[in-house]
Amino acid sequence: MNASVIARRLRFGPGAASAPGALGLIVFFLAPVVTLLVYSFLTSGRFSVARPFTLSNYDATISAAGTAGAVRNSVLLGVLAAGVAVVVGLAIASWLRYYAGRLQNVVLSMIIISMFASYLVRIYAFRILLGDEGAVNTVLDTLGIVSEPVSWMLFSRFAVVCALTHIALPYVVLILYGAFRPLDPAYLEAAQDLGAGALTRWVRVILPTMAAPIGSAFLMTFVLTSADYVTPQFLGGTGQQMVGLLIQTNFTVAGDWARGAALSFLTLGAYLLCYVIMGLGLRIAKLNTIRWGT
Amino acid sequence: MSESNPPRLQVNNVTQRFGDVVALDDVSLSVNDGELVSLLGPSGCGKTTLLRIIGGLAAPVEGQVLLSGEDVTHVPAHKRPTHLVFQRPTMFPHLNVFDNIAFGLRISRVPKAELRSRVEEALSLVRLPGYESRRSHELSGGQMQRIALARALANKPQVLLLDEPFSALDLKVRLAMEGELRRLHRETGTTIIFVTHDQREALALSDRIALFNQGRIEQFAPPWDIYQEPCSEFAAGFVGDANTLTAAVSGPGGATIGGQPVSLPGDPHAGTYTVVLRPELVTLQPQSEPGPGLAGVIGDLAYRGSVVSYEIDIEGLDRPLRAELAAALAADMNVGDAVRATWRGADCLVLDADDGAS
Repeated sequence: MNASVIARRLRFGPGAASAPGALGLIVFFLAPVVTLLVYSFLTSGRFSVARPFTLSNYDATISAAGTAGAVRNSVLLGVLAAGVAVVVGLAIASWLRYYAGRLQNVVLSMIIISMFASYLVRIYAFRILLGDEGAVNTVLDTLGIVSEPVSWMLFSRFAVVCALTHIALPYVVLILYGAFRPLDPAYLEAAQDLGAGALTRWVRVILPTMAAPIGSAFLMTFVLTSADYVTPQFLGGTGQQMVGLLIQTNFTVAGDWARGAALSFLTLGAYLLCYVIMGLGLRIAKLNTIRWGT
Repeated sequence: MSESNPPRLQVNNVTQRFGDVVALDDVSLSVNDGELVSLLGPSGCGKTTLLRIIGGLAAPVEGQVLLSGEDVTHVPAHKRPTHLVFQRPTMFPHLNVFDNIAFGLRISRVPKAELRSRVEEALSLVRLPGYESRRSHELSGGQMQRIALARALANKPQVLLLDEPFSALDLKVRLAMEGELRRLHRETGTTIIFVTHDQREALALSDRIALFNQGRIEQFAPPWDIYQEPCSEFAAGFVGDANTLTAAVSGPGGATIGGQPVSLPGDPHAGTYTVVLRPELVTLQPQSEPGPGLAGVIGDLAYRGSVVSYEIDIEGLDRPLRAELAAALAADMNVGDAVRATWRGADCLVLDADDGAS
């Protein structure tokens, strides 16, 4: 008796094969999100939620004193980190694609291996790099560029942006390296042959054909970095509240699960809005899907 | 062209090395205005390397490239009045046909009205008017190469460079494109350098063919001369089909091939020679009829419609002799028949044993 006969006897449709995957998605993604969504409309106790349903969590979150500042900080750090990561990532990915030659696989492996190291270890590494006795200050001192340690680097936005960029960079490089693959060097040679110098080739060929992947890489790392709540605690200065930290505080310290959930969904909504805007922008510019020739 | 005008393109003693590999070895070439010259040769012979050097995508380690007498050896591609059509389609996928053709014109800031008319002129040259708003995925391979031709021609290049532009196309499309290219060449009078490994294509298209072998130009001549009077065994074998035989000459009138007496043109003095014989110049007659020629047995035959190809096993030769007869003349000869292969004395070409022309 073959599988299709069994399926017919058990009255399974052809979709039965996807059931385990669907179950996984429901258990690990949909259920937590729906639970949290319900929390955000319930009334908060201390480390608990209960009926009645209300919209006051959203009201209170939006009008709370700290929210605006945290959003500003998150957006600023996210844009800075994702922006720097995309610019540097573009440089690295294009170098890998067009100039690295035999080094290509070595460098790609190094980038992937760097992602294996624990997130916390990498954040601590920046303390060692940027501290008063750190590597950067030691080098500056040895070269005689400074006479006393530069102390503004650690526990500052600078340190946070450095670490977040470092964390985002491998994702950007991998996304863009993949995106560069169909852009055969012959396209760039054709552009040069038609009179385009290096800058013009970037502006007229590389950036437009890579617009969608660049947008994806930027948004993905923007979400990753602006929502980060660990790095600012270890490397940031005082008074630089971020949205992720606010959410965490609501859940762990204040015990206000409902407001934590409401802020989570406001953040999620904001990110979705970013995606929609980017998608529309790319569609209007007709750069949303580039169909490479056969 | 008057004597005082320099040739459109001059390549002087160009050598190119990649590591230890010599890709081009002291190559010189001069191309007149309006000429269509093919760079023909097997893959890896340096023909594409030379094209890239002419186009400015690479600089040679030695030698010079002159365009209309001006040294452009170290002028990069984007500042050179040459334009290239690549082997693989390179139509920018984010731009439609119009914007692809206008790409170079926009960079050189051609005014809008002129830009429009030049794009349209280029499109009608390649017979694709009305295709302005198509994207690359809406075009066939042949159409994409036409757009690439239009894109290059719109910039009115001093020299148009074509790097095997039709080699990825189906045979039928390819033959049509060859016709198109001949027409384009006639209509525009553009100087064209055409790289190909297909000798048939080179013979059909070129005013002159530069035959490449291992980084050197073996022969540079009109197609007729290349075919009729190849300068070497390589040239004879690469362009068209050829039997290359070894002839021993012991004295005046004493030439033999595989031990059988033959007569060679020009009565060469004693020695060993390479003799080139095109299959279509060989005629066959039954051995029962007396006469000169190489006696042998038909080992194989292939009917090809207008012609029939024979392989004749001849005693004393390590390879069968190939003959090609018009089908009408071939009716009564079959495998196993004893025949005599003959040719008119002037139809075979005698090369020195060291491959130089006799």
